[in-house]
Amino acid sequence: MTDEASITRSRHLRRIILSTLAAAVRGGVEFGLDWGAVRDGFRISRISVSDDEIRVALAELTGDGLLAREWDEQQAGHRWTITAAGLDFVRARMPWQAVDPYTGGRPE
Amino acid sequence: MGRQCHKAYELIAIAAGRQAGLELPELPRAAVLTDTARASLTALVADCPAAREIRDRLYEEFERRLGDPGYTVDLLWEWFCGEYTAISRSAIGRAREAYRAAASRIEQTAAEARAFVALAKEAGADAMFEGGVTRAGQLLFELLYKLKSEDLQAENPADLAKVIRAMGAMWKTGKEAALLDSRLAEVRKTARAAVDAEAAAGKRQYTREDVYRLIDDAMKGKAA
Repeated sequence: MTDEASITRSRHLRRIILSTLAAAVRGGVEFGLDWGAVRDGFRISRISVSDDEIRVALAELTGDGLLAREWDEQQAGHRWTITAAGLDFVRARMPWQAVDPYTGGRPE
Repeated sequence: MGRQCHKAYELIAIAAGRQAGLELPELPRAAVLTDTARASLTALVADCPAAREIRDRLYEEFERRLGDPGYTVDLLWEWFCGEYTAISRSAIGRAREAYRAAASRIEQTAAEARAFVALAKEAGADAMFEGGVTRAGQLLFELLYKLKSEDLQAENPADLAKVIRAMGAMWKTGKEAALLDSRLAEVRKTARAAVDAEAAAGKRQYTREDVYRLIDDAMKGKAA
């Protein structure tokens, strides 16, 4: 894939994750989503996606402060929640140029 | 999203295959083929890594528009006809509706889980047990979302009521968060195993009713 195609794909994967978590919040779920639910969120799309790609997207979003990751003792797994900055980002219709590591920016 | 094929997606896949050099018919011709014939062409694309990569990129472009509230059916239709080939407006409308329905699924599921937690608390969960009820809501949410993601039958309020009743009955008799947790973990494991087995077999052996029966059995401690 070209760099431009990689960026587009990465944004699409991150868009799906953010949309899924934002929808959970809108529905009233505040405890976040576990790995299975995050992965199931990709059923919205027809694209093929690997677990590794999802993990990278989650790490990028967490690094940008749009998601938070917590360890769930009872389930012995991580849970992800969308942060206030993440919700603002979704409401602003995801202005990627502000957060992409490719452009060096961070959310305003 | 439902796993059924949408003509718009199939035509995009065929366009990708052509870009990758596969010998496939031109799009206007592909558009008038039978569903079966078109499906066999998209299978060829799926088998070719280079074509698959292009297809996914084109799918991304299409899905960005499907998920963009600024794109009406008319705008999408106009874009698709210009970018690919003439297609009926209703075919584009169906693809858009399916995508948007899938996008709202998690929100609906979350609302159902929240309703369960609220009902259980109203029913008299004491302070000590509140954590257990929230936990039950969490697991219910994950279970329901998994089932819906697997595209079992369309939403049926009676099914949901059945699950909530079963969970409520267990909550009343359980009285201990540890027991509740253990049972719920068992329920989730059983239901997910059933759905996963189905997916692994590549076919639907279980109806939604079957899965709810498994849940009921697990609730009663009969899970294998």
